[in-house]
Amino acid sequence: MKFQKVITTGLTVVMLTAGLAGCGKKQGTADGKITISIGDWPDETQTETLETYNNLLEEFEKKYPNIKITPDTYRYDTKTFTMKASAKQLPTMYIAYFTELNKIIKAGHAADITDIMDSYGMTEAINPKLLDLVKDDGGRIYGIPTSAYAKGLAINKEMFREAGLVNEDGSIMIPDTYSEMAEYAGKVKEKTGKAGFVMCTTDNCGGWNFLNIAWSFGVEFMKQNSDGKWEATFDTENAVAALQFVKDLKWKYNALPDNSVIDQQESHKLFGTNQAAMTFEGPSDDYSRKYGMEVSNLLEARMPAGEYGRYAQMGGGIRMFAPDSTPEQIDACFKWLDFIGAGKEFDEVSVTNKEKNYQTILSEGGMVLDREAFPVWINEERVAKEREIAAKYTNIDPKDFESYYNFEDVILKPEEPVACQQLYSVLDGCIQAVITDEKADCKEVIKNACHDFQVNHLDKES
Amino acid sequence: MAKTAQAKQYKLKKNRNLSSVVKRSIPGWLIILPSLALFVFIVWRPIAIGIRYSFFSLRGFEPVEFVGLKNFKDVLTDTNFIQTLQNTLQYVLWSMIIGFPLPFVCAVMMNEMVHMKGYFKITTYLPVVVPAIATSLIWKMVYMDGPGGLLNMVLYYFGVEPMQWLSNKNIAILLIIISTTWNGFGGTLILYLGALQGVNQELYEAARLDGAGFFGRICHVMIPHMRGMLLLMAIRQIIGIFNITEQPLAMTGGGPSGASMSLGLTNYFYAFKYGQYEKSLALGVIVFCILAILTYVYFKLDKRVNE
Repeated sequence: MKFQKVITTGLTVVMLTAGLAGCGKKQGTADGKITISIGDWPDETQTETLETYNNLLEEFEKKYPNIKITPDTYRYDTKTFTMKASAKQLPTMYIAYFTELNKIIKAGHAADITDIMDSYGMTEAINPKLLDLVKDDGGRIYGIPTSAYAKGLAINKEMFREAGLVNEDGSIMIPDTYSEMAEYAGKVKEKTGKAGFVMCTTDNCGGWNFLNIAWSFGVEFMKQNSDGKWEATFDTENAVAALQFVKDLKWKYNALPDNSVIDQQESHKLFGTNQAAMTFEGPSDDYSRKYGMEVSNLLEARMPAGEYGRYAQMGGGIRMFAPDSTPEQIDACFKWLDFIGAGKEFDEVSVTNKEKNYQTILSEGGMVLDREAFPVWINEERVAKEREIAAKYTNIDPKDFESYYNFEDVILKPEEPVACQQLYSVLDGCIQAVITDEKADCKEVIKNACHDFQVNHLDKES
Repeated sequence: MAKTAQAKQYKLKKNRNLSSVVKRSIPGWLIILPSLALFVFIVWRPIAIGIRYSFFSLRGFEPVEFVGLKNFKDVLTDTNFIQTLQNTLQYVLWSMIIGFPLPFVCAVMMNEMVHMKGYFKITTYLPVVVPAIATSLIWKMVYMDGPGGLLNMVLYYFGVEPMQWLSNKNIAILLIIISTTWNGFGGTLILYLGALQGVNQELYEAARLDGAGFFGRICHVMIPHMRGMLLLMAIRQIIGIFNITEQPLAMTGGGPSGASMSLGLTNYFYAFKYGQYEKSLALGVIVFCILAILTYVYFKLDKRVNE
């Protein structure tokens, strides 16, 4: 009996200790050092990148002996973010996406970095258009843009050639309008038996892509009335026409894949394995890294134009900071960014580190572009220097990206102002309805979607 | 005086008894303490917090303001709620039509087997050890649209054109239930088989002597003996299927156009897709109440079976 008691008490103590040890997060200073954790650290599967980062860390800690960095492999994920944030387990610095910014700020899961941005001179150094995207309504800054892109039309050159979609000079025929895109997609299907175009239809990804088509067809999804309430405004002929375009891709041009439930990963797989000739996507090396597609097989074009213009949604990454970070910790993160060439300072060390980063990308089968679509920094000298380094390592043919970088008549739009994930979900349903049922009535589908979005989401926002 | 002394003595004896009972039960309490602590922190506390927070507006997971029944109203007035509830009931209905009788019928057949009973026991149980998500992904490939889908390949072999499966909103739920039945029926089958083997063989003999055939023996001996067990399994299945989440998540994402959306999946989307934790908690409480009633019935039946 005594033995039982000892065992029971022992177990209880162990359990409670283990439980308590799991609670909370040790951040801040230790042994007089400033301790920070950096998210998005490469994991063990990314051997080359991990080695590069570990070397950088070693050199950084030599340069700043009062700073200790704890690598954290956490990557932003909508499913786990709130849990981590509520448990105060976020890395001191993490990367999130433009699409998630408002939600994160509203929930108080990011630190206000306006003052430190000013003190580092970053506020003036960053492209003001991008900086506006990371501010709240009061103009306070909550993140540093890391990169920005516009959605484009990715083309699989090999499949286009197979379908005979080449000009007399041997160059690829790039669709300029949505009707051309549908026509080409249909031709690919006819000639190769494979999908001419793939568009994701689930996980909110369908709605995210559909937005671009709809804007080009003249759709406005919502407006704020004078009383501050939001109103869904897409029960229109334009939205019906945009949805009819998607329906035609399936039933008139027979250009979509047989499978109708497609998430982003599946869409990338189909495109990257020569099963689909076109998709909406910004420049991505997911196809070459994951599916072995040759980088030289990718042509990135600007989005097709509709009757109401050529629209492309902007996206990108933002570095944000855990809300309980101390100013000293944020300062340490800024020093790390400078060190790796991602901060305002761009000295010789930054140049070397940037080059190392490109070398790693190439060794892992990735893609190095010759320039950024939207430079984060406005310092022309720096932008020129960055382009010079990128040009040294780029593995793309600039001609394949010429169309994409021509933003002359492209109207760039950010996310819709409120409830965008909910809007995407509603639009996912519209796309699924018309591509799984040839008899679906687009007008009815749009009418119901607009009503659902108003009642279930916008009415709750006001 | 004597009475007072007697009362004192009685009280003393009672106290001594009580303290000895307490003393004797201390080790018992200590032994269950770890499990109790786990239950309190991992099961009961989150349930209590979830119920409490469902009456608040939240900032992340922090309650900000008491809003009464607003979250429940938001969930119940969602234009998709009725459709989702109907879908969930449809899951339950199909599960009762396909998933409920199948293991029983197979168990009866297996019970009658003389040879290879062990082989069939193992092979029918094997799918149970495959995780639900893996099963869903396997069946997703079986049901894939176009000529690449396994089912369509079989149809093609017989000269039939490829058909739409999970993209067909009229049969998406049925197809999901077929996959869940494949995944889970082996476990139920083993339980039935165990109960069938417990039926007194003399009763069969007596029935046979009375002229009962195969179906007669099933109706007059087996079914009465198994009634309690069947009821229990029915309730368990209803509770399990009412919570169905990962199968539609992996196979259809709730589509096409919400045709296979269940209450469990809606709950998951509220929390992990939209970050609307208040609505997720409110819907969780609603489902909890429905299932609490079913669980109450389950325990009542369980008691009856054990008696």
